[in-house]
Amino acid sequence: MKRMAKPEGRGNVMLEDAPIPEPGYGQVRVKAVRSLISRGSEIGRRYVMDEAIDPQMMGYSMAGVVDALGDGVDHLNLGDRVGAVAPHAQYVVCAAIPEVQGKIPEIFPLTPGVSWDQAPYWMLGASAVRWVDIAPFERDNVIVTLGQGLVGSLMLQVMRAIDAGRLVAVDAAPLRCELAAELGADHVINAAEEDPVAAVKRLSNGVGAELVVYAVGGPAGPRAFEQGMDMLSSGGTLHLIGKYEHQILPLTSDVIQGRRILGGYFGGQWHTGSARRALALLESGAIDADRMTTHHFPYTRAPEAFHLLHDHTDQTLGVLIDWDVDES
Amino acid sequence: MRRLAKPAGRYNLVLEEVPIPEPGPTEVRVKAVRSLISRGSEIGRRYTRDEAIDPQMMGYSMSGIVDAVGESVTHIGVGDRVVISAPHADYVVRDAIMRSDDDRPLVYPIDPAVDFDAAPYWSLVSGCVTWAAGEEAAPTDTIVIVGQGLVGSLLLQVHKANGIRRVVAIDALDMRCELAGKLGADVVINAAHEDPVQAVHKLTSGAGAEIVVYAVGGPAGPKAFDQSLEMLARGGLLHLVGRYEDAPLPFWSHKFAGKRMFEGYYPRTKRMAEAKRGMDLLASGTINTDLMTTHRFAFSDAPAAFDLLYRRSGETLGVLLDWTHDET
Repeated sequence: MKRMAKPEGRGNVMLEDAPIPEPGYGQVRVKAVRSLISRGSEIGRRYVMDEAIDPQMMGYSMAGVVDALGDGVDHLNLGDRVGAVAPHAQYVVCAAIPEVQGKIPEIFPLTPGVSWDQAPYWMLGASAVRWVDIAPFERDNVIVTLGQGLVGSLMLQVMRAIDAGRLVAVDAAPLRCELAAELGADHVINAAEEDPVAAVKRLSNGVGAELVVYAVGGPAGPRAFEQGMDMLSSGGTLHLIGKYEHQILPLTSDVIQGRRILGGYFGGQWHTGSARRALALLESGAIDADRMTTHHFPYTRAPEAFHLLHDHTDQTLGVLIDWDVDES
Repeated sequence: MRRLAKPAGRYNLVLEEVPIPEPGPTEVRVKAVRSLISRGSEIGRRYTRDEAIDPQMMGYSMSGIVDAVGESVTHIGVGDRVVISAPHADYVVRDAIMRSDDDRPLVYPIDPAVDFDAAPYWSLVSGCVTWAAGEEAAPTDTIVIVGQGLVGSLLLQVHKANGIRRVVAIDALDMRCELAGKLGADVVINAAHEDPVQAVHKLTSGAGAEIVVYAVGGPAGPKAFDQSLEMLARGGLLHLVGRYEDAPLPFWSHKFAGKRMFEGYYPRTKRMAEAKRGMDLLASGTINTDLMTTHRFAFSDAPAAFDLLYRRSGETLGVLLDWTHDET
């Protein structure tokens, strides 16, 4: 079978041959149908690194069909459509039995109303659900989401679905700003055209935002973080989700006075319940995955998909790899 | 009367002659007996600055005797012993009327069991009571206090008084480490002799501490901040109390996953009750200010006191000015 690999060397992604894995006790094997490239981590923590990356780390958002059952798995059947937290490969093996409700499931059964193209968003969707659950806000708050990549966009849609507050989306790419407006932002600020701090102050009667979701990360992160802290109201919270800046964020002890920063999954990771809700949101269209997908690549051209995401951030968002194409 | 002033120029501390102030209708005037120099802010934000400092900012921890009251003040009378958040001066005037429970009282009666030497610590003690309340610690939490200056030392004693079973004190100065042991720290780590991150990980079976209080600030701050983040457990709270680093804090997003951080008085709590608790802790001797006071100076020698604090941090902690002598 084929799988994605990144040996030593920046940007050195390739398809390699590997034996089809066998499921052990409590595991299932899944034959891939679609996988989603999660730009933030897969570019920022894998593609741009010099060192070789463990093939098991190459991706974690897949949908496919159960193709072999290990001993001890009695709640799934061959042929079941499932989401899998697994790397980009034709076949993957995952733990099928989450030990407890609060643990991340590696396999999650898909509901019939979710298409193959939507299903790979289940895992980031579950994360977004969890992050929104963690974030402190009240109904009439001004909530700014900095960054409209996959995570920022999903969080915006999850917040829209529960009418979390007055939702402001910030990005510097026209494509993402346009998308944010379609997907439910009350206000969209293009940071390339106007100062987002001044804009948020204007929208909030000079008070600032009660909640700022920092979903930027990467090289643009530090500047956005600084703006995020500056647009916070007194008593406000910055939820730090973006990563992979590869440099420090400009925090000073003056800037955080009377404010608060929460790191990612503060209080616990996403779990089975978050996954269930994410699937329901995908099924209802509250999360519009089809609108988020900008590109499809057959798995034979998967490396190109990574190069595209790295080289053309402004033109890409959801990039799917199709594994159900003819190999020849 | 004389008061402490800092015109333009680093270390440019002078005693200046000004008229005795008159209290307004809601104010009281206090004749100073002792004032405490709060090293962190008074050196970091006043003494070492080039610019002139507003004389009203020159200090905030004094004990004295009420010598005039405004017509609306009924709960405090002439001759009362009080603590007052006011600058270093012979006579000071402050508002004595509280408008809400969230207000921090600026004038507060001294308990009969508290002497004039201990009373000036009240302002910092009640601040520490508020800070500790905001942390919402459980008795079983491991609390690490990084820095054993005045604030770190008082926080240590407040947390022990609150029934926290394991409070770890860290400093790099022998005198402060020794004092922390005497004042009830369960574990003292001298950062000059051992790696504090490793030491905390060892104490916590590798998990890190549930609460880390960063009470360093100043030039040593950035390194201590980085260590504070590294010794914090996932799900833990980094409480920033130190300030005046004059440099960015080394904030790496990957070290912050699943953690949270706020500064100082976030969230606001019941200030009047905490002011009383601060006085009670002094009255019961739970806070041992006698051990904390290292030096006393006649107020006319105040510039020498500041110079000592600035140059000899290894030998100094609580430095009191005596306003009852050397009146010329």
